Parts: sequence; structure tokens; C-alpha cells
Amino acid sequence: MSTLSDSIAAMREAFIDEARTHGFRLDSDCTALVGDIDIGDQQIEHQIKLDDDFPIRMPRVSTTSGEGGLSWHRESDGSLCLWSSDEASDLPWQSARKLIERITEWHKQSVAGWPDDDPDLDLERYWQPARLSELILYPDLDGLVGRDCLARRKHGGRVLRVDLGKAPTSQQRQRSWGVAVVDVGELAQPVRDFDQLEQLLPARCAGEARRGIEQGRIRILIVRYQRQGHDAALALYAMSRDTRELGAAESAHTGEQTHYVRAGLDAESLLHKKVAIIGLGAVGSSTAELLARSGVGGFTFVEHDQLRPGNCIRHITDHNYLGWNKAEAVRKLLHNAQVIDESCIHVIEDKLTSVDDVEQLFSTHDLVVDATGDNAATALVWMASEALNRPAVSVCLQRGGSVARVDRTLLRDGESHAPPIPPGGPHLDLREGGCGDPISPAPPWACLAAASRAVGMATDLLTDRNQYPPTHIDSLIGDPNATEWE
Amino acid sequence: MARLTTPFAKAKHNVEPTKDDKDNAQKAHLEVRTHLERDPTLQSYGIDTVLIGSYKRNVSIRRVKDVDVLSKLPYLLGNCDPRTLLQQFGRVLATAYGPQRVELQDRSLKVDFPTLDLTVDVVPARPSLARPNSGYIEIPDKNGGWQETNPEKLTELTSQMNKHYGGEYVPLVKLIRQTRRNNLDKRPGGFFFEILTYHAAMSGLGADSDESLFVSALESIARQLHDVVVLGAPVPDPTRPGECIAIRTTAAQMTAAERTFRELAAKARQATKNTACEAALAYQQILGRNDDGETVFEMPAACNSDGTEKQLIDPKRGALNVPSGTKRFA
Repeated sequence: MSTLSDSIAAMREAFIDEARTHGFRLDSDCTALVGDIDIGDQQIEHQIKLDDDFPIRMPRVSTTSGEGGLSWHRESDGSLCLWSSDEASDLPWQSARKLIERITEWHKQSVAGWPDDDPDLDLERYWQPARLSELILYPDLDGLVGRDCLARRKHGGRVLRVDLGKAPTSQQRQRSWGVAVVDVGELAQPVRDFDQLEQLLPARCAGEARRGIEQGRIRILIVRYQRQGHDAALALYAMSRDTRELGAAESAHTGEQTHYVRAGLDAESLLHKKVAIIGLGAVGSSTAELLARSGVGGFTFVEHDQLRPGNCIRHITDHNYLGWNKAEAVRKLLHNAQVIDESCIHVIEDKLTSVDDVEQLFSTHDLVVDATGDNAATALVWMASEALNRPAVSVCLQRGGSVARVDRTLLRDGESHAPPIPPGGPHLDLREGGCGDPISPAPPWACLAAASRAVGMATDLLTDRNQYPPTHIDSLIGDPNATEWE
Repeated sequence: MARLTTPFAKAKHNVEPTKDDKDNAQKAHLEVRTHLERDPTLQSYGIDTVLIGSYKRNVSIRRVKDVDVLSKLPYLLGNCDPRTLLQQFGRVLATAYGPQRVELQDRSLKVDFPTLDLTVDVVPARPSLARPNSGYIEIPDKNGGWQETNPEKLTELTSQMNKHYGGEYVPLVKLIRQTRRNNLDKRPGGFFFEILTYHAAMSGLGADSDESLFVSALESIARQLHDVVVLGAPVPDPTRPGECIAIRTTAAQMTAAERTFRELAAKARQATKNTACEAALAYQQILGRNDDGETVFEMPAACNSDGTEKQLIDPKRGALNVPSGTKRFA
């Protein structure tokens, strides 16, 4: 055995010794401990099952006679849910004492009805997993409950899309399946099988669902439920015509609310903002993507350059867009990824040289981001910003990509920008065939880091938090000459 | 705090008869009992076969070499000669298995199952003439007479004692039998040590950990052997109050057993004062290997084979803790 596996085995043995001290006995195959725990005025026998990955994973604890009742705090195998994954960075179950204290607390909470319960929306945990490889996608369910629905399987796809539609004939069932959508309302306890589900449904609805499954017309049953007012849905897949053979399938909601729930807390306010990005190269393309994914609702991209094969290693687009204008390529990419509709992005396939054009950008956008790395363009943006009293952010990498720098315009009282960073970094003369500027040795991750910082500053301005200093410098790659500019 | 719980649990597992052992034993004894119970003569004696011995009491250790079948004959006449009776049993079994596989012994018949690597000992028995309706029985002795015994009572006492010790008594008996097998010759046998363990348990053993249970049992047995050898004290038969166990052993064998267990008990007591790794090495030496050649007491994960401690990742230093804490996302 390795030191690591020995160490883990030793921790396991230490836990067992400690549990033994608390009166637990180890079973003959050394995988479970059984013992009594004082719960209130009674002793309840518990089993602590130690899987192979203990103590990295939590032990499975259950009452040997089922005490504690069924609740949202029990797994489908009857074991107690003692810690959520984000409560357990220090693996508290390594200590038998802490585990027993937690079990005691679990029972107290169970008797009290879990008054401070977080409404976990995880009904699928209480069902056997479905033998279905596809992901079931469903839209907002309001218009689907109690109506004829079907799930369409796309050729070669990995998804089944649920929508309104007549149940397919037996010949059509290769491509699509009948779906029933039911609503059981607020759930006090997890529903664990079809018989329990039937009790919660109107008789007619329950009967139709049962007949549909038994006759093979319904293969997917979507159960909408609420916990403490939060909506959720469980997709059940009929693995046979026996209602006992319903399994929880992987499923997801396709509506906008779900789309933006992971976009960050600013997404809602950013939806009404428009940002102009000048320069859609390595840093600018990532800046555009991150701002769009964070919720910004409208853009103008300004870029004159075409995408070349060598660009693809640092650009968010790929070889499918070779020869495209970089701004146009980014617009298409974001549209195809369903991040933002292409109609919300205006593209200017040109260099920004006209003062009128710059004035137009500032007047029609909430923020202008300069990601050109071009002194002339940056100077023009800077002057226009000051003159028009409209905000701008400029982002670049310096010293061969070892430093990311972001500046904003419109200094507030007492503020000043950091002095320029002296030139330096790796002395490499990287060039591609033909005439053109030397190629920066900045690695892709440095471009993304610079873009991320620019988006941080942009979001700060767009949300009026105004917490960012006028200059933000990140030292990305260790630089022995850093004292020259720090 | 308890220690070495896992190695003791593995040791109990390692002396446990295998599933094959159990299956073979069951197959053999059922077959023999069927042959006996179908014989018209034995039927006329009211034959009723029951299992006795270490297999029945679940105190056999790996490998199971023999199974004892008691053939109770409630209608047997009082003047029956044990040798004649044994010959009658011999005829029935020889008809079923052939004379080569059946061996007539002083007090029983041994049926060999060479393919299963075990034997079945058939012991005829009649109700005790001296104490009728007492539940006691008589079995042939080696001198051609009858000897009183009460083997089924020991099954009952074993079960009661096991319950009293929360299921730890029977595994303890097996560990003591394994200790005997690893450190002594054939005599005194496993049954004798089972009785000594019973008396040790009756006197009260430290039951707060497997280690204290094992060590205190060894010490009690060493004291009992001392009383037998030095003081000439008899060993009471727990199944027959007022009676003693008949010990089929020589004085030299008993003296050797006394000396060996005195040394083992001292070694075990010293181990309880040493580090867990040093103690584990001592218990490993005491328990030796099972009949499959496997080490009975495996070293803990934290210990080297020489009883020193391994250099392991110390969880107390936070090796398993995530530096950035909870509520993380990636």
C-alpha cells in the first residue's frame, strides 16, 4: 500500500477505535459499526456504514429499525442526511464524537419538524436512477400540466425535448414518446414511488397517468412540485409498463429564468445596458463573451481584422470562423451558443478612426471598452471619454503578457492613474509571415485573466458600485524586474 | 480509548470457518444422520440425532476437521453393552460408506469424508440411568462402560454467555482456540480451553475493548491452568453442577500448557502497556496463522511489520482540510 492509502486506512481504523469507545461494535467484515445513541429519553440503535472511500466520503448512517421517520433529510436508502457537501470541508465525520453529536442533532431536528430547513429541490434522490442516457429538457410547465405532451428525440442528439403534442402512435414511438405532466403542489415529505404520487393527484389524473404508463403510451412523467414556495420538477422515465419501474431521469428546464440564474447577481441590471467593445482580438473577444454571459443586453463590436489560424489559440472562436471578421465571428459564436441573440449585437467591420463614430459610440452606449492594444485607438477613446464625460475602460497586457492592466476614465476627486509600466518582459521577436506587428508572447490564460479584470471593472461602472480604483494591475507571471514598476 | 478494533475484527474473521467449511460440514452430517435414522434397528431404539460439539456451538475455527453427531437412543435397554452398540452403528455406517471409511473408536465411530477433508464422529447415547429425567445422558467410555455427560447443555450455556457479552463471547472462544492451536500440541484440546474460557467469562472479563477482553481471558486461563497443575485443582463441568471435566492429557502436556499460557498472558499484559504497533506485533505472534496459512492478526494500517510506526499523513495537521474552506465553486 502507498503512504496515502495507508494514511486513509489508519484514519479509518482510528475512527473505528473511537466509535468502539462510544459503545459501537464493528461487524465481522469490518464495514459497519452498530451501537446505541441516546436520543432524548430513549436509546436508538444506529448503523454506521463505512464505504471504501471513508473518511474522504461521509459514512452512511441509518437507524436499524427505521426510527426518525421519512423526510427530506433521508436518502433513498434510508440513511440520514447529516451534512451538506458545502458544510464539510474539514470532513467532520472523521471524529466519531462529532458524528454522534450530529446524529443526535438530526433526531432533535426531526422531532421538531426541521424548522430552519433549506428547501432542497432534489426529489430525484429518492427514486431509483432511470436507465436513460438522454437529458430530458422541458420548458415552462404552466401550459403543459394535464395536456397532451410528447418528448422528441433528435437523431444523434443527447436530449429529449418535451413540448405540447399528441401522443405518438406505436409506429412513431421510435422518435418520440408520450409525456404526462402533473402538479402535486407543496410537498411535506419526499414522494418515493408511484403509489405515493397517486395519493397526491386527483383521481382522474392519477388514473390516466397509470393507464398511460401501463399501456405504453406514456414513457415520461414530469412531476411539478413546490417546497416552501420554490418550484421544481422531477422527470420520471418508465423503464417498463410497470409503474414500479419508474426511475428518476436527468432533466433540465430550458426557460430564461434558468438560463440566467447562473449569470450572477448583476445579470438583471446588466440586461438593460449597452456596451461598445473596440478590438475583438484575444483579450477583446473574451471580454465580449464574459460581458454577454454576465447579462449585458446589447453590444457594438468594432474590429477590422480577419481571423487567422494562428489567432485561434487565444481567440474564443475557432477554425470554423477562419477568414471571418473577428467581430462578426464573435457575434455568431455567441448567438449559436444561445448566450445572446445576434440581433442584439451590432458589428462595425472597420478601424475606429472617425471622431464622429467615436462620439456616436459614447452617446449610444453605457460604456466603451477599448481592447485594441493600439495607442492611437486608445488615445482617441480616452479623449472622447473625457470630452463627452462618458465612461470608458481600457484593457491590455504588457511586458510580454506578464502584466494585465485595466484603466478607467473619468477620475474622481483625489484619484490618479498608476504610472506607466516600463517596457520589458521576454525579449522575443515573434512574427508571422508577411508584414505586420510582432506577436505578443502572452499565453491564452493571461488574455483571459486580463479580460476577466476588465469585465470586473466594467461591471463595477455599469452597476454604479464604483468601487474599482482607476487603475488595476495584475502581475500574472513572476517577473524578476518587477520592482522597476511596482 | 479502545484500540486495535479493526485488527481484532479481522482476526475474528480470519479464524472463522469458510463458507466451504460450513457447507461441507452440513452436507456430511446430514448424510450420516439420514443413514442412521433410516436403520430399522436404531429406529426401534427411538434414534434421535442432534449435533453437538464445537461445530454445533459455532466455536469451530478454520478449518473444520470434524463434526460431532450425538445419536440419542431413548428406548435402549439399560443392560446394553456399549461395545455391542458401537458395532451396530458400525454395521449401519459401513453399509452406507464401506468399511474403509468407518473407524471404530473407544467411544464413537468416525466416518471419513476424504473429498471434503473432514470426518463425522457419531456418538451413541442413552438417558442417564443414575439421573433419569435430568436431561443428562450417557455415552460409551474408553473402558467399555458408560460415562455421564450433558453436551446439549453446553450449547445452551454458550448461547447465554454470548448474549451476556453482546456477541463477543463466541468470537473470544475462537481466538482462544486459535491461540491454543498456534502454541500447543494436540493436548489439551480445544474443548478443554473452551471450558476454561467459559469459566473466565463467568468470573467477569474486561469488555470495554476487544484487546482487554482477549488479554483478560488469557490471564484468567493462565491462572486456571496454574491451579490445575500446581494445586491439582479440578476443572468444574458447567453443564453438570458438582461434577468435573475429565481431562484426557498427560501431566507433561498439562505442565507445558500451563507454562506456555503463563508466558502468553504475560506477553499480552505487557502489550497493553506498549504502543499500538508493538502490541499488534505481540498479538500477531500469539495468534499465529490459521489453517490456510494466513496471518490471523494483521498489522494496523499505521504500523510496519516489525511493530514500529509508519510515517503517515497526519490528519491533525489539516491534511484533509481544504485551505479555502467552505462555500466554494469551480
